[in-house]
Amino acid sequence: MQLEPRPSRHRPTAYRPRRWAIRCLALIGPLVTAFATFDGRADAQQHPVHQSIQIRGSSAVIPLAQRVAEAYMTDHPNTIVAVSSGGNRRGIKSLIVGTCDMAMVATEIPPDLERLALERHVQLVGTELFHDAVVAVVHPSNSLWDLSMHQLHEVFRGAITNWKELGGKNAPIVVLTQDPDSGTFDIFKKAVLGNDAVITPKAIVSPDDELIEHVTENAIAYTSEHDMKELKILSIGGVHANVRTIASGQYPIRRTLRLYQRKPVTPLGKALLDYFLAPDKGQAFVRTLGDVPVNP
Amino acid sequence: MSTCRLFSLILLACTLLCGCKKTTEPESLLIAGASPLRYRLEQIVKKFVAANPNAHVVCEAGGSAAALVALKHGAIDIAMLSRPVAADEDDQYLRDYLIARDGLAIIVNPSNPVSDLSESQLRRIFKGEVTKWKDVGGSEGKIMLIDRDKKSSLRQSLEELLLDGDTVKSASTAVAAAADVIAAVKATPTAIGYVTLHKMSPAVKALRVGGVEMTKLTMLSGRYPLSRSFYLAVHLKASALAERFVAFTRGQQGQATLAEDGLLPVF
Repeated sequence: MQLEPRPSRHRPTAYRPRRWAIRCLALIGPLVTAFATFDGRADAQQHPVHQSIQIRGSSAVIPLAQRVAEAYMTDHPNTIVAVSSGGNRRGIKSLIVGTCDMAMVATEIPPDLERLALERHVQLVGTELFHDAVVAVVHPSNSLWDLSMHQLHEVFRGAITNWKELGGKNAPIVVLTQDPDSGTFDIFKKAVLGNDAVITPKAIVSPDDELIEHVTENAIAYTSEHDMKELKILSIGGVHANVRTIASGQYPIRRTLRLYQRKPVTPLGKALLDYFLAPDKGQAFVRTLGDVPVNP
Repeated sequence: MSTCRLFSLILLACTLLCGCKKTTEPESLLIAGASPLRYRLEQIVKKFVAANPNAHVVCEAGGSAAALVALKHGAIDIAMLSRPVAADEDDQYLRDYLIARDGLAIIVNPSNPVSDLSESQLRRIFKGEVTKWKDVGGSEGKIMLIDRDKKSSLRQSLEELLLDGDTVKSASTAVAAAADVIAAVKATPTAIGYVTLHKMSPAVKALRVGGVEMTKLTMLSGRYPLSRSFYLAVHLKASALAERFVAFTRGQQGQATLAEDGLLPVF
């Protein structure tokens, strides 16, 4: 009879330390934070505020990020904006695990990294920076002016092999493609062939700087150079590639480049993003680099 | 009694927060990786140990790639890298923090009319494929290549950044110290050499590379092509001491120490 109450008497004492510990931590936590904040503010009053931000990711965004970083640091001499490449995956992963503050992204977020963000309780917020498009080109002597997406799809997967099938002359189609590691290949492959088709193995790899010599009478190629005057640019399904049709998405062979940050976005992150989007800063650089601003 | 208990609990909480099992035993921290970073971290290690007397820190060279493998197998706590992590080395457990940048200045005599060379022109010069200044838009005269010691980490960086891993032409003149490179380039109108950012001297002229001048801004933005990045990498579940070391290196004191050593702070 007497043995029964004992454990119940002991239990509260055994649990008390935890409660105490929680209370202590609850007390210490805000104190430490308050102290740190106070310290930071005091420091800021004495010295100019020193801040830094790290950007990583897709090489497609690097030229823009480099120019924005330099302009921002020139205007804000106490801020460091460090830009590193590494590709889409590395940028997104680094953002999730906290080794960078902004990720430059040219694709959708891969499902495994989306899961990683969920596991780590990290919420990402993306903002569109600019678009880049790819055009299909033929020799100026070619009688065609336009191809549908379906026709392009059939030509590049090797199902249509003669210009005659497209309303042209009776001649075999010479298909040229780009380096599979290039952004140009990536855009074209995703938009034109999708996930279930591959570029015909007969296609010849021809980089942009050799395109003019390689696009002979019977050839078809694609490029991210939108103003190749020596070659004929085809419209796609009746839509010509220009700043307006690319931005609106009417022109179909394009991709959208984005900048991701963790939620909540920091004041510096917000300020730098505003710089990327400012018509006279980032968006002007986008134009200089030959790409299409989000709000042309 | 209750104040005593409270005090001991705070102590216990602090101990738990610090992550050390027994405060009396020294905590060990094993760092390994790229040799150029090992020397640069020496001062930081000293200051860190002064601030954490219980820490026993060992810092070893051995290369970036080997260090990453060792880190993944839990053999070391922190990997020092003088290059970014490659896609096939990366996984979701790895956290690599950029801690500093450094730049390679390509220097010529101030009288040399050449002030800008493309990467491919420089590559051909350092491989010994182009031997006359005339071939890169300069005046008469044979290019005199002032090379660094074979063991120099700067020479390795040049080979990685510019020569795609190929070696610098071996017949060239090799000197050990940056001051000697500058003296030689200053004395010879046809000379070309390379030094790090902080060894630059007004006695010589730094070339623009592909139109980009070497400045703090172009190195931070990464637009100057001959800049290298230094990283500290830890595992997702790093020890508290490893976390503190990384935070210390990224913090004000660590960054100032790296700057004293001639590196460009990134925080």
